[in-house]
Amino acid sequence: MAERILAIFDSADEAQAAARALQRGGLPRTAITIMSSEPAHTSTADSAGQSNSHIGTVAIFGGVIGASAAVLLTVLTSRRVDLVTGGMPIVTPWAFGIIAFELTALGAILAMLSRMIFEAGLARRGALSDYDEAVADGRVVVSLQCEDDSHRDIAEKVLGSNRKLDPPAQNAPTLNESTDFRRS
Amino acid sequence: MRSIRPTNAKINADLLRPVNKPGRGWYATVTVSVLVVLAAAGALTYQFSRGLGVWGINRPVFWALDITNFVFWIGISHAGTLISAILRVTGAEWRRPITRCAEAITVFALMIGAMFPIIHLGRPWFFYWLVPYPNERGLWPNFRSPLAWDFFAISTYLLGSIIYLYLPLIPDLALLRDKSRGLWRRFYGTLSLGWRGTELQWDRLERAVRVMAVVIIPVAVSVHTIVSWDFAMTIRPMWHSTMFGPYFVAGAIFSGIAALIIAMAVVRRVFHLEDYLRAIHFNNLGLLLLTMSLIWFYFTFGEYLTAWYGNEPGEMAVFRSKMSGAFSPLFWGTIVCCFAVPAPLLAFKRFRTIKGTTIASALVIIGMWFERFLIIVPTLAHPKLTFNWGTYRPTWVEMTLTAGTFGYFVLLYAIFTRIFPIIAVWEYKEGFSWQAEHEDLPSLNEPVVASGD
Amino acid sequence: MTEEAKSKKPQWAMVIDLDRCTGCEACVVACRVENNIPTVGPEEAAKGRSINWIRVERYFEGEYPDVKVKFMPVLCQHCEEAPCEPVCPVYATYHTDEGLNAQVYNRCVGTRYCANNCPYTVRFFNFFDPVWDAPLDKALNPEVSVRTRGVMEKCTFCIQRIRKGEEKAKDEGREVRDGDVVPACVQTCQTKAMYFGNIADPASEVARLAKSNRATRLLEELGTKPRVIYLNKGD
Repeated sequence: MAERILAIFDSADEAQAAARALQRGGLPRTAITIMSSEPAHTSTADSAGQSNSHIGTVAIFGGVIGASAAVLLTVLTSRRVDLVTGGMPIVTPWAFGIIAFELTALGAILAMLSRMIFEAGLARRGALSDYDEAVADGRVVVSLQCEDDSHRDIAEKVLGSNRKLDPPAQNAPTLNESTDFRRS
Repeated sequence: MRSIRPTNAKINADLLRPVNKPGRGWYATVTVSVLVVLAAAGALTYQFSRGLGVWGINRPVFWALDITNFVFWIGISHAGTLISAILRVTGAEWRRPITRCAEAITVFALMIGAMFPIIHLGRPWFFYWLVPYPNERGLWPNFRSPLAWDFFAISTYLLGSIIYLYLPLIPDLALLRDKSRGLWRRFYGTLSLGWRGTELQWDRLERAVRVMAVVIIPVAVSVHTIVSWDFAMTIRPMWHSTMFGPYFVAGAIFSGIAALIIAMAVVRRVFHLEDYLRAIHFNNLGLLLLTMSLIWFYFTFGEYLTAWYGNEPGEMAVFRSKMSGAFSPLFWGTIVCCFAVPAPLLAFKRFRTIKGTTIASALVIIGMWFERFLIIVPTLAHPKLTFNWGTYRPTWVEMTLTAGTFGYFVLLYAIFTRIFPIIAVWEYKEGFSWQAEHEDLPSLNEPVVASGD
Repeated sequence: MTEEAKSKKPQWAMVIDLDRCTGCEACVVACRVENNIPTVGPEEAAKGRSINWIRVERYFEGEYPDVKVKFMPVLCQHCEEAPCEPVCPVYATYHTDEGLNAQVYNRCVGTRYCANNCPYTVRFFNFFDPVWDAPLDKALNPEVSVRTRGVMEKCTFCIQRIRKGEEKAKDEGREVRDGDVVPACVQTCQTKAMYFGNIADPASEVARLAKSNRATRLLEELGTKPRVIYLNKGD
């Protein structure tokens, strides 16, 4: 039976240590999600999927599309209108090149943005079900997706030995009570 | 000297306070700016109903304050994106409390600047004819025209700047979502796209921001180059200059930094962010402002020396009108405001304080507005056939519209600070972690007040 | 002459003999009557907004008592490489195959960029809705459209008369020849200082005069290739 376990830590170092301990205990890396209010800056060996981003490539691809769109737009429409202005040729490469430059940048930006939203798993329904607002208080939340009992046992064993309760920070209004270990 | 990291709660409280409890200064600012905007809206309505004759433009001065404001505000927009992007790309740590201030300036200044190509039209209700769209008459815009280039450049830059402002805002939107209830929670929740702060998401966000920073720099350079080409592509004396592209970009960065310094000074005072926007930030921006002032003077000197030395009659007519003729008080005022006073002021560390840099910046803003005016009007007033020389005097409509742009900018900025944190919370916090990881390097992210600061 | 030379259509041009011009400005009056040019009123004129598709520029040379006055009628030069054309973002001005610089009132959105790029300052803007002081409002020419506010206008070489002349020639089954098309200013000139015709037709008066050793063009160094030729011996 799939179960989600949230473990809340006070610092990124503690969370990273716990993640490593869980992995050594046999939990697959893909089952562990670390959420924090600051970037984690972990080494790529530790984290899953970070080297497989295609944001840069998609951006370049978007730029190419933008450039092509610009060339088609300017060349085809100026031929269609077919009016002579100032003795300039109907197709004016230097001038049209400027439009191409801008649309290249626009294409790259829009493509990059869509790809980033897609890769980061943003704008998806129900994303916040796997989240705890302790992140907003600067704490680090580790979410474990336990597929079966064996994973749950590993989690209990590793985290249980480190269990400590601490009171919530003085001035930070939190929604939930600050437990460090919660099931759902 | 390593800084002690303040608690997360303190940082949150300080940086979210403008959103929660802005204070009296904010309300006063908003009231005044709303009044100014209303006056400008009235002037604009009057203008739309009666025609452009209510302005002071005439033959031969067909452009004046309208295009002055257009170029000025597009110039201001080069603050944010360039500063934020360049500082990000070069890894300058002291940028952290500044980036969002700067990026917000860009978006709003662009929005205001972009209004003028529409409202300066003789028939503004047909402004959409500049947009390429298929129609049954087979009509398309003329892509050879620099005004068509303007449309593409400004649209791209505006969209890019909004995205560049939005991306690093997402984690802060999630923070606000978590701290809010009711309708605000829904608002921030939708805007933050369900951000959770997973490692994957941070990695992708940082990649995206890096790509944006790299792409937006050439876009920003191209935008003001293209705006300058509205003038340089003509054959008017002292407009048809190959130097205009770099000249205008330098002027834009110059006025943009000045605007940023003023915005930071105001935000710092109104929201009591003295611990975050510190003397060191104003010092560094002041050094950049000094550099730009020198660069601006270099370009200006080159521009006028070549005109004078070449002694071409058409150019000399314009040159003389600025040096010693009708426009000379404004011209020399510009030299004073943009160079003669700010450069020495900023060159000495004892004057490069928060107050000093703010005063220098205010002078620069005034000087640069008149500099744009002086690029446009004297040339137009002195066409080649001397029988057609003219003059220009603005009317109350144009002056009200100009004031309205400043009011509108302040209003938009004030509303922004009320809804979003003006200092990027996560980036600021990240600075401490970065500092801890790079113990050997000096850091400028010291929120603990040192003595004598 | 580039592509226009290759086309069989007439290439319109004008010759103005400055040694004959007396500066009487009858051409200015004739033009405004023929082309429905609005009167802007004294206040607007003082602001520099009066519209004169053709104007007589007056230059004084020398000091008293050796003063000379030079008169130069200036109108749209219909440049073969007109700087006003490429800068219009909506194609409201372009070059026709008869060598005219066309202004399309319906398309003009009023950016005024064309006026800024015209070195001859021959373009005019309607700052307000046009008004014709009575009884001129009863004397509008039905063959010429009236313009609204926000629109640029300038000399068209009396395109309505060009069309009429071309149609008449076509009806009579022949090519257009000298005398078929006479713009209002040329028609009215008291000293016969102005000529108009097809410069591609070697038999036309303008083609002959264009080869005169008194022939010159205004601001020729700008490379605009104007179609208005001035005959000026000076003295």
